[in-house]
Amino acid sequence: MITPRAKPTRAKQIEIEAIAAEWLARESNGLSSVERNERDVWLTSDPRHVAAYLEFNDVWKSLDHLVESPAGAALEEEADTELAQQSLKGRSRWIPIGLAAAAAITVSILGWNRFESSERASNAALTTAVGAMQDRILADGSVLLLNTDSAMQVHYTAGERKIVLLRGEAHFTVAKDPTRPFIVELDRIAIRAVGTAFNVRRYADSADVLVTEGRIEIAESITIPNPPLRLASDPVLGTLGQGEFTRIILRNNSAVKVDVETLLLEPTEMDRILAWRERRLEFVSTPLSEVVAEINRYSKRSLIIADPHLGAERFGGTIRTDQPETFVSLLEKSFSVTAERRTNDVVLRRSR
Amino acid sequence: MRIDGRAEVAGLSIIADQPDAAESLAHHQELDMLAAAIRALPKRCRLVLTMRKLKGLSHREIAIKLGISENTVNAQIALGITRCRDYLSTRGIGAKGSK
Repeated sequence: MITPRAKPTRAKQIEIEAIAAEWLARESNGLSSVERNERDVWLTSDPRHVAAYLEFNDVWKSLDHLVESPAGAALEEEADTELAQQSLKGRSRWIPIGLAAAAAITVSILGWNRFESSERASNAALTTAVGAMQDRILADGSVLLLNTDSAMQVHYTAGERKIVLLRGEAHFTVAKDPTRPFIVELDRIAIRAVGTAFNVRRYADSADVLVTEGRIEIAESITIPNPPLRLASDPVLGTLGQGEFTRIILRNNSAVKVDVETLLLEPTEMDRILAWRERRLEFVSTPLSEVVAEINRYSKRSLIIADPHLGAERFGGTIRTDQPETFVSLLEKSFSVTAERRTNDVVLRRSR
Repeated sequence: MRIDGRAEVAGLSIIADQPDAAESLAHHQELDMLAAAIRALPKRCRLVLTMRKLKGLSHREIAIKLGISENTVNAQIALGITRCRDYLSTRGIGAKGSK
């Protein structure tokens, strides 16, 4: 991809490709939330970055087709032979790691590979199942990460880039384009950005918004359908800068009354909200009932607290969203809880 | 625990997968081409890619097995991706060659 003013020299292209390849390599090892931000900022800062990244991503993903193929089996065998020769020479230092640790590593890798990876999409419905995540690059180079059980509609036109968030949660890293505002719509609320990154979690009648970079504007979304026209004078309800958080009350399609009260969050608090991007949930002295509600977003097998006193007890710690069973075992071992494991749910009670 | 990548939701159609390079390579001959691309890599790079992609080992496990650092594993994977792209694109396969 060639931008009008920047004349890409071969050296520049090689440099971009080296960075793109490095990102894919790091991604293969699992990115932290901070690294993911860094990657998305890099991707959205230049269309050439996205192009190189997508090209390498195709190559890297295509290698998966070798798994369980005769050609792949032959490669594995050759590698085994080479590795055996190497260890005969005593050069290989195999350090056994604990079984549990090995299992955890495998699970986390499987989890990571379950990401729908970086495909371009526009004017489409994007959905994720319970427990799934999706990493998407849109046609303009903006990057979306969808959390569990989420649904959104992408409407890109010449004049604007609109995403209707129907359900769930997503983090948006927006490619800069001052001529085409980027809008996330929730009922009659519009979150507008030009080049920025933010997280939106939708509840039935409210939504949490956190800006991780840049600035956004929250406005009433007044759109006249057919042809869709946006009034120039959409009432702006508030603006949010980096590190700022707000909860918007959505009053479904009735007269909108919105409170935009912003809170400036500590970096640790931001990390806690964004931990889902690393398949983690972090709790600080949170009532168990809330902890369980959060975990249940990620699993079809619900955890049920059958004892109100237990629900009020406070829990702190980190839980992997793809390992609810680990949390249940932890409760059994350390919090004197009895778990009754049934087919579709797990009932939690205080041990007697 | 099983995680479904995507699921049907009432009233929403599922975005169709674009036929990308990955899919056009699904054929037998093209698998051989991919294997050839890996075989053409320098030894350590080839071992790292085979262990990551075919054996599904983590970067850490590969680092331990080969007695190298995790940074080296990353660097070898980055090199491997670049070399494989070069190998495939000179043979008319790859993101730019596919529709």
